[in-house]
Amino acid sequence: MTDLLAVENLSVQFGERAVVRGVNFTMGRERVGVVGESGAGKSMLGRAIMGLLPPGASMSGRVAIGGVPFTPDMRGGKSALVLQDPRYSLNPAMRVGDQIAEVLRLHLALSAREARREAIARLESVRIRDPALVYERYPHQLSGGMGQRAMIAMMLAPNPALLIADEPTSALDASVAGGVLALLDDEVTRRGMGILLISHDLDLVANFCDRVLVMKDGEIVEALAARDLGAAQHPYTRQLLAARLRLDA
Amino acid sequence: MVAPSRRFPPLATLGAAIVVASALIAFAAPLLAPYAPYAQDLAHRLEPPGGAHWLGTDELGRDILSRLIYGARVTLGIVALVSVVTAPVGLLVGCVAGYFGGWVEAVLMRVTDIFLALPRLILALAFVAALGPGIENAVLAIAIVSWPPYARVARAESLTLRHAEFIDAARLAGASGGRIVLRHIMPLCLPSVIVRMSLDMAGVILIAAGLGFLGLGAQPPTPEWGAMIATGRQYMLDHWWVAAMPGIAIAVLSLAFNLLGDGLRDWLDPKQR
Amino acid sequence: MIEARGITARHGDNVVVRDVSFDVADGESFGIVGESGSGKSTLLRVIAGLHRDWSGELSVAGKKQDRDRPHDFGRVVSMVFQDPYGSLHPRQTVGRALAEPLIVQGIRYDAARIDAALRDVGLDASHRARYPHQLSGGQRQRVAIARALMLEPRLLLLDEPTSALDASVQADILALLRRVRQARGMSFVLVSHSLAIVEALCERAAVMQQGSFVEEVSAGDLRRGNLHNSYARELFAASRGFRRAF
Repeated sequence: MTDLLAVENLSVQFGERAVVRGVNFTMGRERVGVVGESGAGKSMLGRAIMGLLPPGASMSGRVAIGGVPFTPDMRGGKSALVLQDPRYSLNPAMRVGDQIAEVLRLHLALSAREARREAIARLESVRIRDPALVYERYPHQLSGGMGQRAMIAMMLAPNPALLIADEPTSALDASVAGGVLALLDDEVTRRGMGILLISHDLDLVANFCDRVLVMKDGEIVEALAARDLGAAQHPYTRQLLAARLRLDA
Repeated sequence: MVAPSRRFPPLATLGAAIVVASALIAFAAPLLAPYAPYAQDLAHRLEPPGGAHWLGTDELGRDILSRLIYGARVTLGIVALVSVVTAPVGLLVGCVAGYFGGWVEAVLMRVTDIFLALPRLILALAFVAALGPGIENAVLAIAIVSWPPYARVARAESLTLRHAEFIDAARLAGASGGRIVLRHIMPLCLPSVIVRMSLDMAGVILIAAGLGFLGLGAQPPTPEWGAMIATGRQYMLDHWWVAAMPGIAIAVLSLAFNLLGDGLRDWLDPKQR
Repeated sequence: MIEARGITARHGDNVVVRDVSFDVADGESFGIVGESGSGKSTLLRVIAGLHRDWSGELSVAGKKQDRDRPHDFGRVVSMVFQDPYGSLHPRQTVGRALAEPLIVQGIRYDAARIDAALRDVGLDASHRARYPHQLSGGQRQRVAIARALMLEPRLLLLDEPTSALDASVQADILALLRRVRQARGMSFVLVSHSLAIVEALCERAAVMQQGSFVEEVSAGDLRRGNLHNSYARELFAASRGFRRAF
């Protein structure tokens, strides 16, 4: 069986400075978490897999999705990316619904009317209560949780096999984040997708994912099953575990 | 994150080099000029460039190169005086308006708008007409019409800083409004104002030359570039160099200031850090 | 330390804090928990004198406070802000930033005093000449704490002091704040979206929702989830993190 995502010796550099250093991993249709602190290179890893590097960065290594080397036209259809803050990742000058409809038309060859109907159905499926109303809204008129739901609906619209979620809930209040995570959880299960969840929150990753990759200074220092986190060997992972602040500790 | 080392843009370096060279030439004018700027030689009037007079002579037989070299003193002097007067005024008005807000801002910015609403050269002309012709009055007039853009730039910067947490921290420690404007806000607005200033220098040169051309700025026989073009105009068809040489000088120096300003803007832009 | 009665604050036409009353005893650490838009930061800024549009009665350190605070208010109350990148002047060295409160209050000082302040927060004299962009997030927040302590205030206001920091750095800063409070016997008012942080630093806390206090609890009850208000319970559940439904 070919892997859903295979990353081989992936490095990202800003001039002389490497922010991702020779990362290797493969994943199937499963939930994999990438944890690390700021500057660990975890976001850059997610962007590099999607071929979305900021100006001034260069990458080397191989990324294959479903056994086929990554090309930019795989974005959307094969793999999708959800970013931290929906206020910045949605087009501020376009109605939310139209943005989703546009993606649907592009990937599923629907007519304008069908796309609109489908977009409303997708908004409903991410548990937005009044989808027809939200369709007409602009991103700044939505709350953070609502915006992130719309963003997820848009990213899932072309039915990708792989979803990369970069801190999808860290801009949200805790009570809202729970709902968004439950939604992601359901969608991933229902569609049988693979998800790469990038987060600084060890508890979140441990609960959401099957496997955890721990990143530090651009390298994966430890890879282990989520349920074995308590028995982590690497001192950095242990340090992260110790730094958790918990009410019930 | 470590800021990548940033090189000063090459075109801006060229601009800076021309500006510095002009300043040096103006400073060392008596050493560099082959003739005295006022020395008339009616036997050799309107001679074309070449030979004893590299850039030719004017209608009174004065060496054009020497007059250009001395003219750099006048032009750069005006530029320097104008910027010394206008930048601090604009900076202060803008920062005070931006930080204090409310009616202070409303009054200061409406006054700024009134100045901005009228074309600069026309307004300067009006002031010179009222004050009387002459270099000092030209400087004054240019200064009066040149500060509003700095006020706008400084206000825009101050607005974003007004709610910064480090300003809150200073207020909480008991710093007065004046201290916050002078010590905390102004230093941060300075780069934008400097950029704006170097872009404006070209405009100042042109206005000064324009006033000189119209006979309202420097008075003859002062070797001011604009006034030189004005006299050269009469001989334009047969003796093109009389007007063209100061014209080229104005164009080159204005361009140099523009290049410098453009480069400074890119270089100081915080987004590029 | 603080007596607040019927504090109401507005942002333009919006009432963001509604009729809030509470007391903070001398040396006590009081937490305010709430989500974005609950009005918790505005309430803190009212106490600090940074938000002017408010009504009600407020006394700090036994003195009734107006909208305009006395010049030496900074000797009683100080504040640490959320964003360590935005709370230090980008063109001032660390030494200059720490000297500023002393200069403003007309207090004579020397380099030794600045160095001592740096040592107190776990930095050393070599940091004095650095600029903020040469420091990590955690180091900046240490500088911000040192600055807040320069005038030896009796009350420290903390606005999400660790939420912009990595977990391991957060633990260090919380330990530093705890140590500082113990050594100086100061009062804290801490505002945070995280129940865990409030529990870690405070003896008593209020849960704030849409501008009002909906519940006041002790740290022990907070830890045990012994809460009566339904919103407070919802927050408690959410703060225990995502649990996958199997």
